[in-house]
Amino acid sequence: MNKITFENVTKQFGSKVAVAGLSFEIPSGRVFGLLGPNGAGKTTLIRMLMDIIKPDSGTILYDGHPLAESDKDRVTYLPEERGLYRKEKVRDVLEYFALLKGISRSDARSRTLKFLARLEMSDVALRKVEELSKGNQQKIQIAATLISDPEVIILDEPFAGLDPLNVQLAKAVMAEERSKGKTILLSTHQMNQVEELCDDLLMINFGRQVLYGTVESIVQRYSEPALILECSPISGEIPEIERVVAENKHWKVYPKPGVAPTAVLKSLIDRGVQIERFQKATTPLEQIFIKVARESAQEARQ
Amino acid sequence: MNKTLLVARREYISTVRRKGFIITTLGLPFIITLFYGIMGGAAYFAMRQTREKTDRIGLVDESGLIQLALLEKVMQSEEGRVVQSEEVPPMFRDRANAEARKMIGKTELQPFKTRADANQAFLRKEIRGYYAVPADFLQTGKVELEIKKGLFMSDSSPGWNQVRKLITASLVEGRLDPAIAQRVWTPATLKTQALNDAGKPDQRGQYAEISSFAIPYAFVILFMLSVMSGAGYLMQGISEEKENRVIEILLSSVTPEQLLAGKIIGLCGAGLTQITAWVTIVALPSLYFLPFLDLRWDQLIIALVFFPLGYLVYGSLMGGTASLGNNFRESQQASMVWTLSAVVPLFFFTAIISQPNGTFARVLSYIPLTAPGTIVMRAGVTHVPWWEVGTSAAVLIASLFVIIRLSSKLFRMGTLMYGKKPTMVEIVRWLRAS
Repeated sequence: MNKITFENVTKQFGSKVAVAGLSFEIPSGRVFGLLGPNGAGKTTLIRMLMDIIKPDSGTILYDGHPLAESDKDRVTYLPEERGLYRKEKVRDVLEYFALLKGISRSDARSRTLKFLARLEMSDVALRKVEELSKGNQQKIQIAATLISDPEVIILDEPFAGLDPLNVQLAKAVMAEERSKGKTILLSTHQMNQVEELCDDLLMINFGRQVLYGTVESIVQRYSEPALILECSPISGEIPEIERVVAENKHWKVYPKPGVAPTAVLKSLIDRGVQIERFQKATTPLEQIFIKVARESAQEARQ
Repeated sequence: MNKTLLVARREYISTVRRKGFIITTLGLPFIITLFYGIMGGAAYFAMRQTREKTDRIGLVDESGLIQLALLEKVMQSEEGRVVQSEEVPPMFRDRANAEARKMIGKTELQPFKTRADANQAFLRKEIRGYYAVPADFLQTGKVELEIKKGLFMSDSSPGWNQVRKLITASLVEGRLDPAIAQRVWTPATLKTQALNDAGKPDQRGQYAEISSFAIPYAFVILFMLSVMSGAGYLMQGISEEKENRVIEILLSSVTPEQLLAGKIIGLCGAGLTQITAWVTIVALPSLYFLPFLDLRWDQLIIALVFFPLGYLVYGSLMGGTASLGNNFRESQQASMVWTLSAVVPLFFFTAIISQPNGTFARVLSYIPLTAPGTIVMRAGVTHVPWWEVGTSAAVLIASLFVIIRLSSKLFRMGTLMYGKKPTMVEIVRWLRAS
């Protein structure tokens, strides 16, 4: 069980529509980015996904069937603003979260010790959470999320407030989970993280879908069909190239329709152009986010 | 393990480990004992001090009627007044008698020939004052007492009993048959025998009466204290979990119903632990009084059934409303109304105790919030018909289902709401919508 399907899901609080007729699919074994400005409906969507609140209409399916109580044990959630039982021992907190996910008591104990060892924190097992440094508390939180070996992992701004070392650790853990075929939903504002970590993304605003697809296809859709080159000057007519624009430190090369970038590269090399950098011109996700958010806000006002 | 029980277990352990809980549980009986001890001790020592000051009193006989030779006999007869009753536990009886003897011994009558002699003795501070039996006593029947005023509450006519007896004895001595004379100046004493319903002597006596009043009262006080402290922990727990967002992690694993039910069960367990501790601390020394108390098995059964039921009702209500606040203070304000309703039976204590099977007491027994306290109070003073106890329990159980449903709806919405407090209109809308 790790493919999730939303079918025409709507949720309203009083007169405020939090989620309006959303349909999308979170494919199994991939990292799915959930984006949207504050108040876009991300938290509501996650809570419906976790069955904490019910949609007014529409269905949410896990591998084709509604989330059963037993399925909940295989889904885990790291909320954005997170905390732990501060007055309790690290070991007790981790064990409790594991037990709540249906892990047996003996398993919960051995997994706790294993996780603490992996995070190089075996020595804090019997210390109270509040005695740990902030960074170590964050590591414990990540451990609490993953201790039940879930199939679906929902992470709400998992890197917020982490120091660079812990960001690296968290990313490594995510990569490891992904390599095990886990489905990961990553809700974040950090566009660079989405570009770096996500395979697919859904952007919502005012409860509606504004962008949806693989990260690659979306970036391509919003990018110019151009190539960026740092090279010696390009002169004369080149049959594969429509036009060349000189920009600050590089050239922007527009190939003729239907011409592959490799054909352009080969042609330039054949003409003796010295090339230091060659890449597709892509619009950063952040710019796409801002553009789309503004457009959808305008639409909503109209 | 069932998830509700997992939550209950954690809630129980974390509650009973709280410093506040341990202090309240172990400290309260001692604080109460200390409080009453200090009050009682202060009163005892104050009484002793005033007694010690009233030791000698003069007696001047101007009528020539008093036979001073009878004084010794009168002093001895005073001992007849000490407590003999079998209704009083021996420990108290012996203590009371010792005190009574001391009191009698403390007031010593000292005869003087004339008022002037007595006055001299007074000026020398040998006596606190003196009784004078005037020459026309037979006509007027008046005896005069000249005395220095004592402290507030002190005996203002020390030795009066002896003087009166001495006068009576002097008047009848030699004029009546000695046996009759004896009865004149030491008249009848009362010996009471309490009967039980079967017409047999009831061994328990007057302490049973006090216990029938004190036990339900103590129970309701304990119940109230326990509900209030327990609900305090519940609210504190919920608002902490809400503040540090642990609640969202919990709700991703358990349903709000499981979470709320687990919390309440855990809390109820902690409450029972607390009451058991209190009862044990108080009960061990009171085992001595057990034969004198009017305790019945049905009372115990009723308390054992209604205490957890009451706890569950109040726990669910408090849990539901506690989730509405953003922090402990707000949660406490939201739940204030329930704390107050727990106290209601105490407000009507006299009304319930005096008419335990009256309409008013009956009505309170069928209202879920007042039923636990009321039924226990009634059972303390009378036999409440079993069908009434059953109906009251049924009402509680039925309302518990409704309350848990409504509370988990509030809990579901309340726990996920941050920032502003919901209005009454919003709360009603949630209850209808979800």
